[in-house]
Amino acid sequence: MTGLDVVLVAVFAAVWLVPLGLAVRWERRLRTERRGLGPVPEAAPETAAPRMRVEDGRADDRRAEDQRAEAPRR
Amino acid sequence: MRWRVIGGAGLATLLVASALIATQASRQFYGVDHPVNLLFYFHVSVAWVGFAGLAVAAVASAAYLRRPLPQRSWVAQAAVRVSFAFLTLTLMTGMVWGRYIWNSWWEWSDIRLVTALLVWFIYAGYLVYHREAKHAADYRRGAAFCVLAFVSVPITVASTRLWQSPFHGTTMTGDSVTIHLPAFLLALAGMSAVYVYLVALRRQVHAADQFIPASERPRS
Repeated sequence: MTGLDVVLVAVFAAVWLVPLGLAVRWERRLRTERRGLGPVPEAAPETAAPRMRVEDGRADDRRAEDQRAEAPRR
Repeated sequence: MRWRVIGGAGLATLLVASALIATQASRQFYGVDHPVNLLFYFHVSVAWVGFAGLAVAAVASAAYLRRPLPQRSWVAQAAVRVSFAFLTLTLMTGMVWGRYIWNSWWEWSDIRLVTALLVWFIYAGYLVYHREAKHAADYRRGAAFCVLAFVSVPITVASTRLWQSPFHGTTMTGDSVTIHLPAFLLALAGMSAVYVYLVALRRQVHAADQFIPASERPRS
């Protein structure tokens, strides 16, 4: 088996491994991000409410907790 | 979830296609009998699917320019990213095939090779640009770039008919090419399904990214 034959086998493998690699990488990333965020709404963040961007989401969560604490108990 | 079913079906179809290619397809193209000719089935299918994906990206970008919904930009970015990977595979498989058949990795005098490489660089530029895009105006410029960049795709596809191409002939209609049609169609269908799955997956990653500060996002 020559060096060129090794390259040929590597290219046949790459046709499979490149799409598989992308799929594994993005599935893993999506799972990690969703685990941290909970279910992500499909709508754009501009229209998605009440869960907003993380940077101001924390403030929103605190605001919601405050409102719940202040709400009269029945 | 349905995207994963499509991706799984695509992978299974590709397995069947590979088995057919390995056992049934002729290894003789252009008067040369060599296993490298079997790369044809993957080279042509990834090229076609990659170019078709760039058309999807151009349509999504045009739609984004008309009405800037983030989902449209995500589809365009996802389609370009996956097409770019497919174009890279097209160039790699073509170069290895050329090394065996033409005894040369690359021929600068061949119009198809040069235009395909130009498309690769143009869309590499698009991906680099989007990596740094932050504001709505950046995304609008990116979408306009994507629409304009698509002009390079039909030129590349038609290049072997428009100009003299000393090495890369017209692939499917060439006299010295005998294709195992079922194997080719299966490979094409499998690649298309895998492409659709990857674009849908990447689009979901873009959607999830919107809830993570830019500085904390992975760079891939």
